[in-house]
Amino acid sequence: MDFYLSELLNNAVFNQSHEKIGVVADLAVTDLGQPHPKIRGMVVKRESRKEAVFIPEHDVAAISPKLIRLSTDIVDLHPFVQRNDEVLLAQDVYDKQIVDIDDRRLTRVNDLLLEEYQNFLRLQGVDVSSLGLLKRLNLPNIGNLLKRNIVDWENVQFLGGNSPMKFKVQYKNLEALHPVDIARIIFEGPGYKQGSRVLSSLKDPIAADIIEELSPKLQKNLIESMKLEDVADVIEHMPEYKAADLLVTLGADYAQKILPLIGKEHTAKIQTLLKYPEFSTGAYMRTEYVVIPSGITLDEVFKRVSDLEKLPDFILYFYVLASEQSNHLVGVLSMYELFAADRRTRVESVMIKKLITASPHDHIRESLKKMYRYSLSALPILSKTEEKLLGIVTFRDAISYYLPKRWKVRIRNIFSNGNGV
Amino acid sequence: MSEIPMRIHKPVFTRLKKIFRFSFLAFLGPGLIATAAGNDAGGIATYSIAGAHFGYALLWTMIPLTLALIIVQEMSARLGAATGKGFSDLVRENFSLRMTVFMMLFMTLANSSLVVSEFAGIAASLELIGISKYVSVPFAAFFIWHLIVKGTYPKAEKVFLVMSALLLTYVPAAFLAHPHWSGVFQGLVKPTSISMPGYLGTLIALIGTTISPYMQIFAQASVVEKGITMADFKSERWDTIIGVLFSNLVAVFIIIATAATLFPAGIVIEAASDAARALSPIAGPFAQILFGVGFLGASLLAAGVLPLTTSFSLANAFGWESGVNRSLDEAPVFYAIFTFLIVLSATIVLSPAISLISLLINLQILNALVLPIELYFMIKLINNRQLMGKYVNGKLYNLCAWTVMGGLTLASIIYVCNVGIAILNRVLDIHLYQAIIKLIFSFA
Repeated sequence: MDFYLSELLNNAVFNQSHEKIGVVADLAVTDLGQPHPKIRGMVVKRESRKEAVFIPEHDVAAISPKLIRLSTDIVDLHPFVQRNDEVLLAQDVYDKQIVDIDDRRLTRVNDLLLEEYQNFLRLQGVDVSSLGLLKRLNLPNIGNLLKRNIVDWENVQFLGGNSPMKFKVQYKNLEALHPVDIARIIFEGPGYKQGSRVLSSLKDPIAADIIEELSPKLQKNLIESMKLEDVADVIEHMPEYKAADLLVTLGADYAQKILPLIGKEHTAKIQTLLKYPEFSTGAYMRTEYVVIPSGITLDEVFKRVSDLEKLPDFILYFYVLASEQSNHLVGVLSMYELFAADRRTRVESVMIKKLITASPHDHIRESLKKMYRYSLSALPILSKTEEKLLGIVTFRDAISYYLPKRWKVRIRNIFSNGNGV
Repeated sequence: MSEIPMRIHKPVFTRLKKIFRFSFLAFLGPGLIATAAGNDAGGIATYSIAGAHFGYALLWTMIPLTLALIIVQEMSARLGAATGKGFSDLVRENFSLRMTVFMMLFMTLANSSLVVSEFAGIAASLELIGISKYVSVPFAAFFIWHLIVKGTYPKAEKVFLVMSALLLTYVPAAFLAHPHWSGVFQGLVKPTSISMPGYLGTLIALIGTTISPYMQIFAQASVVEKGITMADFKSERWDTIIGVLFSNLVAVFIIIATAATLFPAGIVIEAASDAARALSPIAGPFAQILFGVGFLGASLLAAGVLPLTTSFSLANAFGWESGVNRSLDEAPVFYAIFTFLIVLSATIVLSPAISLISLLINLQILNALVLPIELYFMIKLINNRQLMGKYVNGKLYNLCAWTVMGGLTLASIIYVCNVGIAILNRVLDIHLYQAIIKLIFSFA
């Protein structure tokens, strides 16, 4: 049988000899991260001026909105004190914010659905409907206009309350969402204090993806409230050019603190990117792309690509170098030629040799114009003197120069709504 | 790390911008909108009436009101900066559901009364150029609704802001009207109470329009929206103080200008055209136009911001989807609330029997009555250590805050009692009334 927590609260509790010992004040749970957490017991408020007591689940014979009876006459009268791992449903979960994972939205706990389970109860779901509110206020549902809307606890991410609570909240369920959605949902609502807690608890690659999606101001607030080591881990998982942008946002003082904690190789790459002035093509440069030496056949290219441990985000073009060791760019092989041409042909015969390239000091507008004019998805960036391949700039990254900053996720924007996500 | 590359070091320009944050430029941002929205239709009407009907006699209220407003606005901004959440979120999470419903009910009441007053302002200003309210109000209602839904409100906002900036001409107008400066100073520093009909009502309306509950919710929301944290709160505090001083200074000049031009002539403000005459020292025959455009801009500015803020607050408190970037299917309640607010307000303003100016001032009184309730919640929240950590109020600050709250409550109670007695007087036959009093005394 199912019923709501609100139907249980303030109901009388009787002992085995049918004497009333008090009323239900709250229910306790230990692990909210479970798909359907089991209720561990209830907090019973005795007559006024007496301390509340805790009744463990095994002392309860029957529990329903109609009757709550214990299987014993002996009650531990020690005053109830909330333990660190205990979550009280009415006190800590009611009215707090949750993420509805299926609907990808932020909402609030209006009531909680309980289900009979192994002689006691477990938490089944959350009522997010306005009817839940009415019921808790003992107001009638006029004309039965409103319906309950239950979200299964399995598909709920509880976000916790104001201050770091006594118990630890797991944010595992969030990982089912796309980082863009997490960024949008979390930072539209719960405030940055909670936001930083959510970020620290997520896996580093996901946290890195989320941070990339945020507006600079929000990035700054969040990161400053996170631990240095956590931030370093997150930055390690970012592409260098995004990490560089982030460091610019955070400022020189913070960069000095954080760079020593990041891997040497990563730091060196970030520092190179940072040498380029703002809005230069170099500042938008990516350093993750696929290179192949000239002289091999297309078949071998296929093999090399499938052997790659991790494919970079951008794989429309393969960059052909003079030899395995050199950094001298001789041509570009596009996905189209790779698939269209005979597999036995050599790379040099199908690759594009007349290259459109950019220099790291070109203004990003110029590079974007080139890509648009020649219908290219990316440009290789060559050093001016030695014609060495430094990196690439993609159309997507370059166009972000023109995008309003507010395309990034900001805290819900009351005054310039519509454009903000 | 000596080789921190150049891109990290912000150009000098941005540093300069930081230094000059508190200067005049700061007002061009949300700060100006917040203060301009404070000096909205209701505000201008109330200040004009205060000056025109009572001369400098109500001027003294502006000093305690300014101090009170600084305290209240600072607390709202601090709540926003320390928690990153809006007022209604905090109320829902830290008070019982019953208390939340109670608070939100009153807040909605106060805010909707302001929306009504903005529409009254739109109607009154367009009547100056002979457009009937039966044409202007439905049109304005649709116009604002459309701007909100299409998300183009922020752009229109700038136009409204420039329009309402015309009301700054009250400052030179006050000087050109050659007020008795000694009288002005005496009025400013010496509390005077005159037993004239409407004095108490106007005083309460002054409270309501100067410290309207909506301004605190707006201030907190904009701090959260700008992403200001306690780390950069110092400059935000100055922004708040300067914003309050600026808006209240303009209010003082509106009172002086009307007191110097309308009060000696014994003009009773019954329509917007009467109030507009206060600008004639500077604009001469164009006073009506100047006043009309400024008044219209101020009304339009707040008429869009208010329904939006109210819908956001309610949606946040009760967990409904919100934002105009959501579709009607995704956020039906949100759309319903602000549409309802706009339609309701337009309808009330259109009812034939209503005098726009008296409507404007009475709605400010309603705001003043809601204010103590909102302040109670605010002071409770800001002293919640779990929520605010070390940023709770200090002892002295709390004393000030409770004093403000006490003063406002007292004023509301006196007003309500006064109105109650007046109603009793009217309803009961005076002899019956006296008989009852005799009866009570004979028992005692």
